[in-house]
Amino acid sequence: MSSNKQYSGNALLELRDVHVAYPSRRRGGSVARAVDGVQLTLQPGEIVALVGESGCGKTTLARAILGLQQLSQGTIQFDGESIPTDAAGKKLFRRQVQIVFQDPTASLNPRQSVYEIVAEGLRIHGNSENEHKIVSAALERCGLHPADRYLLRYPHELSGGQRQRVVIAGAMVLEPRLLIADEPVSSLDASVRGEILKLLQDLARDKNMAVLVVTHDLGLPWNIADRIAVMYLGRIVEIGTTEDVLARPKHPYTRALLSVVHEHLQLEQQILKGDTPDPTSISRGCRFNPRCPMVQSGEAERLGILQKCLNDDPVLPNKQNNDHIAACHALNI
Amino acid sequence: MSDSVASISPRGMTWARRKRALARVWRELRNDRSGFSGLLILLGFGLVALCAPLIADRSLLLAAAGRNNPDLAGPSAKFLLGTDDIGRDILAQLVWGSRVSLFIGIFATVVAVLIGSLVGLVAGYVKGKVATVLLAIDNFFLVVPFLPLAIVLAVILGRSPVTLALVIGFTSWAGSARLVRAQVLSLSERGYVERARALGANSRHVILRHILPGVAPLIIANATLIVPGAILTESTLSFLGFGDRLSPSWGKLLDGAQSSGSITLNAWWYYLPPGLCIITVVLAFTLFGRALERIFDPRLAGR
Amino acid sequence: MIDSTVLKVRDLYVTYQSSFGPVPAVRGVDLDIALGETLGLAGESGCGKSTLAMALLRLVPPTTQISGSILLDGQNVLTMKPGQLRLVRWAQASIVFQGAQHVLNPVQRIGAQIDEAIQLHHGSTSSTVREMLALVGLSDTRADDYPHELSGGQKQRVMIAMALSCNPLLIIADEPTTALDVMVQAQILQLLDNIKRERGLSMLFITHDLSVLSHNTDRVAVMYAGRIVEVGPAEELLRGSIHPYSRALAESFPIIGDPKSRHQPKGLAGDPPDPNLLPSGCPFHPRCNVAIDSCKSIDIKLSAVAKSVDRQVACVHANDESRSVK
Repeated sequence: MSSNKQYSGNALLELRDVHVAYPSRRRGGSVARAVDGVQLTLQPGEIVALVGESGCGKTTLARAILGLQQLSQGTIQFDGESIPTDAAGKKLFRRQVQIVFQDPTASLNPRQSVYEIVAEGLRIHGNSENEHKIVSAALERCGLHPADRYLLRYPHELSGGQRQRVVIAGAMVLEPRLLIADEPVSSLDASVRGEILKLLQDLARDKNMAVLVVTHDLGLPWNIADRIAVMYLGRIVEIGTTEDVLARPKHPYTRALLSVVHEHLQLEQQILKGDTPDPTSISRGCRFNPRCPMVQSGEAERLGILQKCLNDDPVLPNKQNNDHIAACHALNI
Repeated sequence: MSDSVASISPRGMTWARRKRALARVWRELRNDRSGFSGLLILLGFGLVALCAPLIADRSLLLAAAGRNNPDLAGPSAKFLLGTDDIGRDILAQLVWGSRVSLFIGIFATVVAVLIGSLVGLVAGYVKGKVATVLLAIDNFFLVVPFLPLAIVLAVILGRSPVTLALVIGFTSWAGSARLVRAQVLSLSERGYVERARALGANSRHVILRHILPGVAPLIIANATLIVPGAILTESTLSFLGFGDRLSPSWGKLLDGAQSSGSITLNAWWYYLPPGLCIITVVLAFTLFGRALERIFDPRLAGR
Repeated sequence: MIDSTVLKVRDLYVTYQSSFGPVPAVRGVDLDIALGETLGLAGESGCGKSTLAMALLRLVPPTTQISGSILLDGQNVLTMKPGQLRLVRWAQASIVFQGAQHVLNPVQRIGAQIDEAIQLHHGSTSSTVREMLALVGLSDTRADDYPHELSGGQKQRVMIAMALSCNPLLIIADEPTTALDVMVQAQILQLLDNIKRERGLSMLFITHDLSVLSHNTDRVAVMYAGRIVEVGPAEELLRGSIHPYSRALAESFPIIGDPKSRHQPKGLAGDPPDPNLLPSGCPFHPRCNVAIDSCKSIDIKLSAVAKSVDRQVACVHANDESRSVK
């Protein structure tokens, strides 16, 4: 117990049993359990990738960490303390946690110049001393040099990669301790992708900044992440170091995901049937059982765990920070 | 561009941006033939209204001024547009009338746009009960037959040009509230608003830096389109006899022309000039407003 | 040779008109697709790959200038009369677009939409709506659904059914899986692969994602700035690209498990060029890390390389062993 406490003292971000539910937009009013019991810790300077299909709750979770989405249950602690609810505390918290969105074009106000965009965070937090210097430094740090050439440009005069650099620079002026990157490269051209990822990795190392990268792409964590968390229907089903999870996946869902990624040539293709699952109707027992290849092939029955798969919700075992763990009944035989 | 880099300041930046935006609007307006001619006509009328005291003495409007003149005399060297039924110079009334008509038109528009923008902004930005109530009020003003409402209000509140303008403004804001709300709703879904929130911005910052600059052009374009409606309403109210008896607006001139029987007497110089003025100004405002709308509204831009 | 080549493109130039003047989107492209073959066409936004796809069926704005020749099953698409062209579209070659949701009519049941595609070109083969749905793995009952009742993957299946309804020789798939989830993407790729094999179809598969090409294509062509810079057998090209651009593109999708790419994201400095302002000489030289002085002035044409029969590369270093091995 005591070791546990000490551990949470070091963590930069700690999520405990986080739930986010909202009424479904469709008729019928059933509740969507977008995030359904997530535990996750982030150490300072660490890059963690949150991987999953659309609708698995990864973006909702990111928004919840930013405080843009209310929790229906559970706690999020930043630097050992709960996220403040009063205006002043909230503002201070926002300074330390920044986000980079998927589409840089949408995240930039077309009426603002690069200078105004990057300086916006400083102005919001009332830090106008040396504004010009800080803005220029941030732009150059993010690969736009000489900064003077970009300051007076407008977003439409920049390429997609340059726009994403501007967004990142706008976040970096506040010197955040945690950066959430929501699909930071998926709307960019392939050849530009690597440069942006390299920038994120370098920033994390240089500034000892933790980065939570939300992505559907398993190649991205191999490029930059220290650890991977695989999400399925609102829950983390497997987590561990990137090498462990990608080289020796434990959960059948992770195995299936990896097998269809063409950059990974060792596994036999295992294409799951059906559509992306729906968070308004999470099945009883293991949430993956309707699509699980082990259930469908009869392997679960052979192993004698089928009843458990259909009735008991598997939980992630307790763990140390870097343990490789997965929530699957087949692992506890 | 390089020289301005050295002197970057928040204020300089904003000014540079505004200058660029204005230059763009001016350029596009110059290329829009109908919109530009609308603007020229409006400038002409504005000049006449401003210079009214130089063109005709205000005393010419008094009933006593026509005592020694012929009644309903046709145009002549002395009275360029003839005289009315009590011998007053019609040109003088027309010139002074442009003041009243334009003042009421513009002042009423300012009132309408202020109410409309405020209601639209709040209804679009704040969700929940407040928005529902505001929308209900907006709907009421959209569907209620506004001329009877304006007449009732004008009778209750009195008939000075200012109260008339207030009445007209108060009855014609609903459309712009709709427009502003739609734009605010669309703007507050934009990625850059979410980014500003994530940076720690409060609503004040979001509204002042992102929402208002986004709706302002639309409001301006919309305002130029409300003016002609307000001028017509004023003319209608005056023509129906609910206008200000002491101010010589174009509507009141028409009212006088009608009640003096100038139409049956074929005294065209009495009813034609105010009618033409109203039509021309309304048309000019509409042409100018439509041009601004084309320039400002992103939805119409790429046609 | 003519019998087995379904599509033969020679020296194709496509220049469209914009408010800034003529934009050369495709600049001298040669392509061959044999019967039953799948050619992957890879490139980034603005490289001209979609313009090329649309030009193949002359689905371009009327002011666009096209020159060169496009032989589809031996007939030149560029000289066809409009009536004949309409027959060729769908019946001989059909397109599967990226955003299925924008192509399907939202107020028409999908059965009716597939039927319409069949009816428009009844003749050679009339398949039934039911057969087409079964072919793409959807149940009959889906015929009565409206597009909004289907998921993204299902809509893309409907698009494929419509494209196949007239039994074409060639399918042009323009980023058919881009907006879809990984797993659904795998399902659609598998479906296309099966159909292709069963029916002996040829396919032009256009994508920005080089990684999906290795499994699904026989040959791959890489496009940059309106031109093909490298073409060759898929596996060979993706594993050992010779042109520095195709190499960079291949490296930007890391091989999971390969220690060389671990913590080493690779990309290219700079941005894809604006078709309006192409650099002089080889258009890739400003981003190229092996460019030499002559690259700034001389644009190398696509030509065969010494070490492989089927490969063509447009680079000064194409036959330079020390470079290409790296």
